[in-house]
Amino acid sequence: MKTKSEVTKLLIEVRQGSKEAYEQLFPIVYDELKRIAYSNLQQERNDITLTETALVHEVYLKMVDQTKVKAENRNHFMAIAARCMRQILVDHARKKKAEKRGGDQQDITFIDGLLKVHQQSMEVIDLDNKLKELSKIDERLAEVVTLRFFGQMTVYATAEALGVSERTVKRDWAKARGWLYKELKKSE
Amino acid sequence: MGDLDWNRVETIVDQALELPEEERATFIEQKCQGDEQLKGEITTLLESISCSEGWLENPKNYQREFYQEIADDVELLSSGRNLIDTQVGSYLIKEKIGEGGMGAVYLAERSADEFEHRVAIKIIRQGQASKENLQRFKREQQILAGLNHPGIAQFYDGGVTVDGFPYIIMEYVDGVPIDEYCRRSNIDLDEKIELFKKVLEAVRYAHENLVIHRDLKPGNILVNSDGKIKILDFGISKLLESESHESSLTLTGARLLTPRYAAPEQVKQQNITTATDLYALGIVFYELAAGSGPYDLENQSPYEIEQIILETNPKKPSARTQIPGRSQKLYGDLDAVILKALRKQPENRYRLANEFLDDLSNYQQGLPVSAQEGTFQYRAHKFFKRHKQGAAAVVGILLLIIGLTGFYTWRITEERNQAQFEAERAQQIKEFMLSMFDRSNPDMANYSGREQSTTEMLIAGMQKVEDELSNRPEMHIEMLASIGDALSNIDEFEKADQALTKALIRSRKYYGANSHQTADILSDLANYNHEIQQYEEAENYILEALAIDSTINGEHSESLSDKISIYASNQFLQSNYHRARQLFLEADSLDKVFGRTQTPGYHTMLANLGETELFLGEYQQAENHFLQALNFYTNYYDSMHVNIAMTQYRLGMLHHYRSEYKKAETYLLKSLDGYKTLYGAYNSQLSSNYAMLARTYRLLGDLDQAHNYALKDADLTKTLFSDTSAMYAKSLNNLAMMQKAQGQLKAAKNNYEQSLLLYQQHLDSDNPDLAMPLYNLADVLMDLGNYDRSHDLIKRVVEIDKAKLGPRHPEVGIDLNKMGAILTKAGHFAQADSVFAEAEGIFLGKFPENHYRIGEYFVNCGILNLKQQNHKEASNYFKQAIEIFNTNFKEDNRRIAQAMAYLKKSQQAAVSSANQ
Repeated sequence: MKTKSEVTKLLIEVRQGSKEAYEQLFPIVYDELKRIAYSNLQQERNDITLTETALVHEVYLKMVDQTKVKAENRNHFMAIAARCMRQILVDHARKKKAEKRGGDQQDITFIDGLLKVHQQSMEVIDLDNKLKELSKIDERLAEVVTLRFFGQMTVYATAEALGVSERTVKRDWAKARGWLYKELKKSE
Repeated sequence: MGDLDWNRVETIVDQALELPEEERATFIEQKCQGDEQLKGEITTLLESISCSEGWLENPKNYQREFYQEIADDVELLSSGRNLIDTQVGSYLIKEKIGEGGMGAVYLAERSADEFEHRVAIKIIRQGQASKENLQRFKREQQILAGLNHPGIAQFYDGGVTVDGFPYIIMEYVDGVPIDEYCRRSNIDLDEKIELFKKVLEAVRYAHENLVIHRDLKPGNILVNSDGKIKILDFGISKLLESESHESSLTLTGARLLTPRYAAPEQVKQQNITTATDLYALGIVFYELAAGSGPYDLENQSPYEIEQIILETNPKKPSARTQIPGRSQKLYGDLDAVILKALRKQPENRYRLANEFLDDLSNYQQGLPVSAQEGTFQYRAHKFFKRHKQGAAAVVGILLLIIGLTGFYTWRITEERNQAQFEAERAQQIKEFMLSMFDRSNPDMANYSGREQSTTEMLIAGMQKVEDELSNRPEMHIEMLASIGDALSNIDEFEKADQALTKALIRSRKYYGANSHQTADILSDLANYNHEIQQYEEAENYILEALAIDSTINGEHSESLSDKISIYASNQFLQSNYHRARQLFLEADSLDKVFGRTQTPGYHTMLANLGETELFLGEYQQAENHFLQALNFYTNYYDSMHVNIAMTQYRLGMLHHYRSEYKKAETYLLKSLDGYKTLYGAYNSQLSSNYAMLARTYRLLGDLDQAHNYALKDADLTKTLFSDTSAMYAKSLNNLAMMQKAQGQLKAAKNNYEQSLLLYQQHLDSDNPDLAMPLYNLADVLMDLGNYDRSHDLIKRVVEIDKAKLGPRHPEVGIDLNKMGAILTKAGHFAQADSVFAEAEGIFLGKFPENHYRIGEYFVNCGILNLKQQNHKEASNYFKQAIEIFNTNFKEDNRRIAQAMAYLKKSQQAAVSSANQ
């Protein structure tokens, strides 16, 4: 694992627009987030509430030297984490769905708890599929949903991370939400 | 959709969203220019947007969004520098609105287009946050964020800045402190009471949510421009306090407090409870009502102030007020109400905001207040006061006489034969009591000049008895004993003790040490000592009473029964269950002989006997007695009564012990309902009910419910009795048990350790009650692999339980079973074997057939045999265990699965060793 200062340096580069830094940082955050998400709920994390925010914050505290970064950088980190989160949750939901036919295992990991919060795996998988379609029509709308829903980021933080106004985020959010709602209802 | 231009759709939707709803249709019509497909797409999307409002969002997160934004930025602030004009989230810090011992408070404003909003940000510069405290700090914040009441300034968020200072974001309140408001607006006493009741209502809400303020004072109670109260900083001092007393986030509460409003227990740094808040409010109300506080604290050193708070009894507000005409209004009820809030011992104060509120409402309506307590003299007095004018005074006199008749028959039932004497005495008592009332009745010649409280009247009465009745010994003794009982009723324990002791001395002298009068006073003293938990003292009194009674009346008299019953309770309270049962049975047979079996008193005795049997493991008898009592009570009382709820609870306990968990659940839920109906959702009685339900659900396999009830209990006891109390120790123990069931071994171990520590602080090292926390800790340590310490602990448990319950009690069997398991795990097979041998007789002889504990015992025996390579014996044990478990549990129970796994293992081992 990279040291805190290396991660912090990468993050600052991402903020300055480096695609390379982003490619390096994404898998690191992904791994760490996944590790925590799959950690045993009962033994390690019994005092953390089951939210993406808690999980992402945990990763952030662990990986980034907070004295060296500004709030904007933090929002960028959160955005990366939100994208990782989406992937981890969806992968897990797929796995769960496959298992449902076979065994009946108890929910013991953190991520199982998260899925429960989101009303079952199917919804997450469907949502992810529709998000992919949406991103073909309008990438930024899908991005806003990823950050807001999977990263539980605030409007303010989302706006910061995407470099647009809060107003735009709110508008995008409404449109994306309406579109997804309409599409998911259609396929029901 | 593919052939539609998304950009066009999006542009029109964006514009439509900016329009008021009623204008949208026309707008879309106009934009689409007859393109029906485009129009349809836009309309559906707009509909979906409004239908999906809130979807994909956690509403709570959404609400708190703005505050989290600020929080994110405040965390990155360095609190040392000037913060004015700093942007935090979408808020701008405008000005510093306060600076105090704790730190600084800033006003931040948001003025985005949608709405304007202000918040207060408090940065605390007392000490640094340590990592261990952060988790707890966050937990407490969640609780505070859940407090939503118009009288409480809303808590939004909190955290720690980069340089380690805790901060809090809360509702900004534009108002003035309540004392200043009262001065400025010049409102009268009745309006002040109304305003103060609003404060009590807000505090009641917080208390019901198990949050204690800990630092109530006028500066924290603001009145805004609408005349509405808002309490600031609820729970903040708790938020900043650390779990252990040494390493705190800030200095502990006591040091930060405003001494003027600090309760004695805060000065002594002892348990903080709801009564602590009500004390502070008592001082605030005192100041509002009388114009100044109860003590002169100006120019006193901190040490002197502490001594005053601890030692000096507050003067009555009516005696201290300088406001013209106020003294008369305060005199009597308001004096009593305020002084009850200020009692030195928290348990003698108002414990619930509701009681305080009720008393103020009663005062406003001219009804009796509880602070004066319901003795008939007081009620009569109250009656006079309300009906001073008019003919109703006659009714008042009648009421008095009725009261006196009750009074006189109550004291002297067994002296029916002395009719002559009684008539004379009743007359004397009546005259005496009337003259007491007259002292506070301005129309009477011997009016003492002012009205009096009950306590005062009783104490004055005691003096009068001393002065005027010393030449009439019967009256003298009778009155002293009655006054003693009355004082004990209103929790004036020292005075009650004085009166009863005096009555005893006089009675011994006059009637003789061996008189039934003396014996009765001795019984009174025993009951009184039970009330103050002096059980040994109580035992001495009741033994003497019994000796006297049996000397006079022989071993089988009717009057002996009550005394034997008191003695039995005494033995029960001292954990001597065998003796207690024997005594209850004696009382029972006397009551039967004298035909006194159709009274609530007799059934209370029966239920107590049942509880004793429960403790002795005699479940069938216990059940019979409980059911008998419950049947009687349900016919006897019209509505829910504490006796019904209590008996249901005991039945729940019984079924729990007998492993009949569904039945236990039913009774426990009934009694929970009953207690809630009787005393509200917030009373100490609920604690054991919650705890028992948690255990029952654990054994029913519903671990979530179990954990849920255990948490409810811990929260309740922590708030009602504080986190150093024995009650809290009990709750922690229970909570740990549920955590262990959920597999959280380390969390369970920590809570068990803390619980044991608290128990040891409260109990002597040989106290039987230590067995439970010791056993539990031993159990979890075994699971964690610490066999040595585990064995040491269980050894002490066995010693304690054998001494307390006898060497063949079921409880001892359970202990031995655990000890054997520990020894097996530690590899001490020979020792384990002899321990199991000792346990065998108990399990087979003392437990009901097929009790699951026997199954657990067989499993442990099996494991030992497996380890010793006795595969055949091992298999036999496991088979027997499975058989028993099958009669107790559903097939997916982990005990069954575990035993099956062991059986398989030992059968395989048997095969492979046979092959070798």
